[in-house]
Amino acid sequence: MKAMICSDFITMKNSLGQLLILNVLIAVIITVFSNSVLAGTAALAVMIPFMYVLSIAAYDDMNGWQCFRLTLPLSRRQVVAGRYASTIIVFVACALIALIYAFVFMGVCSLLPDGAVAEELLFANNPVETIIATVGMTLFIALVVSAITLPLMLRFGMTKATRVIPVVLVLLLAGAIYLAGEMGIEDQLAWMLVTNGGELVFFTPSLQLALLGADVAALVLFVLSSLIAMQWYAARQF
Amino acid sequence: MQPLIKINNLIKSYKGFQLGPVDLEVDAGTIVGLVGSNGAGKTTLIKSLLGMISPDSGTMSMLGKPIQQIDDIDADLKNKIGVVLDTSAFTQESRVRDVALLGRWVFSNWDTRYFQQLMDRFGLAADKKVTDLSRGMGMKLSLAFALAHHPRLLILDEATAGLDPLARDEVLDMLRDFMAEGELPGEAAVVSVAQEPRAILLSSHITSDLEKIADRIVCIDDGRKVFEADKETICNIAGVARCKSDQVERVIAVLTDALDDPSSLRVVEGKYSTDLLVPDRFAFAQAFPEIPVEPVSLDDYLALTLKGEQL
Repeated sequence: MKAMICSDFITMKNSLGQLLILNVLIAVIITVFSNSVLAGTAALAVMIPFMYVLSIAAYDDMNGWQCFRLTLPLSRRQVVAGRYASTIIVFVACALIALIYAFVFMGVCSLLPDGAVAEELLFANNPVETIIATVGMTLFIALVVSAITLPLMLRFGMTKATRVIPVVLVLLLAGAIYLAGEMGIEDQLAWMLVTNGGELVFFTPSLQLALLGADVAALVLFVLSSLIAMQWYAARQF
Repeated sequence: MQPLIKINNLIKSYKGFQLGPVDLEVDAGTIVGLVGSNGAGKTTLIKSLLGMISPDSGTMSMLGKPIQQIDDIDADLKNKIGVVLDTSAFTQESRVRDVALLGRWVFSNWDTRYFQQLMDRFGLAADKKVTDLSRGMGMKLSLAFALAHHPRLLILDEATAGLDPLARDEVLDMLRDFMAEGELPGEAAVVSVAQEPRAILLSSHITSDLEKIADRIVCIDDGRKVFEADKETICNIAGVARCKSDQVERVIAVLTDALDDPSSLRVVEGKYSTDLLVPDRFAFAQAFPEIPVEPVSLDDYLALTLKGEQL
């Protein structure tokens, strides 16, 4: 599996560097123009993971690389396990980078003279737990979406998967909305939400706890997804 | 000694195409050329052997290890096999040094120094990107990658296709070196790993390359094995007789009676003469001194076998 992880990172080495620089710039632009550290942080935490998942799958399809990879001393299970491992490494690294970005950005803002930047960009208006919860939420989204898309990409290849994935995602989303309505999920989640003078207050302790639970659930889903992907990949004909 | 590759009754069916049943053996110390037109089934055979596709039936083994399932080719076995496919498969953004790094990570017996020697020999700089390499350079990089872990068995699928004659000769020289390194010393009591006899399965439709390097030729057409013969038998013993129209009938009658296996005879009617592919041109010349008979190139042998009328 280590060899597969290494293979993925060798493949993506140059692209990851470029993606990081590009996405930090985008995060700065989003933060400055939306006056929201959370928005920039979330964008940074989620964009690179999605780009990584798509790019590495695209590289698999180029030049017959994934066929050739099967001739290397890697089993098909190791290929899948390595791909999931490299993905989760990128996700966690991006979450950490996003956290560092948020604190560095606010640190730089706090060094500037009063009034030079908007109040919303300072530490006082962005508690640490809120930033962590934001990154946790993006991690949840990245894990769930990749848990759905990775098996399809490994089973069908990137070219065919681009036709299958949108259909699957739309069906799952429609199903989830229907189920949520049937189960009265809004009422069940009401205990997590606190309002202040009619305005919703995000990231209350209850919601943070729920987010942590959601991240754990997403991680379990990700692991289950890897098991399905192993089954599918084992049967794939190249 | 057990063959390094053994295939029995391999069958793989697709819609509109079936490979097999095919038998194939690649003995230690030999280079087997797998020849056939595009779409004949060469790549399907190699993919089956390498576990990229599951055959419908048949048995296969490599280096004595049976391969029943796709994942039967374990890491230990793959460490003893070098593969070059018809494209330089490394990802476009990789550099030559990344390819070396990959080799170090994946092969337990990767020889960094040998890989570097090959890179120096080919003039491939470490910081050169795969996307900037010509096809010839890309294939040399692939071959170096396949050789740098000192495999016992090389499997090459159209590795010389698209290369200029000089680059092809260079690749063939490398393959000769590979085989020479594995040759057994005369009376050596101890045989090191590097001296274990090696073998190459070389799939190509460039018959001139196979003429230069192969010991044995296996021809596949439309999914079936058409012939299998030593290259010496084809290029040094077989021949093409140029018969006049009034000679053909008599010659065919005599040969059909005389030969153990007349099915190897082929007849192609030309405008001025009828060409007859004969398995032994010397015996033919003795029997029919009045009929000119010439040596046959592998290309002509292939063309006559595939296009000629079988008796």
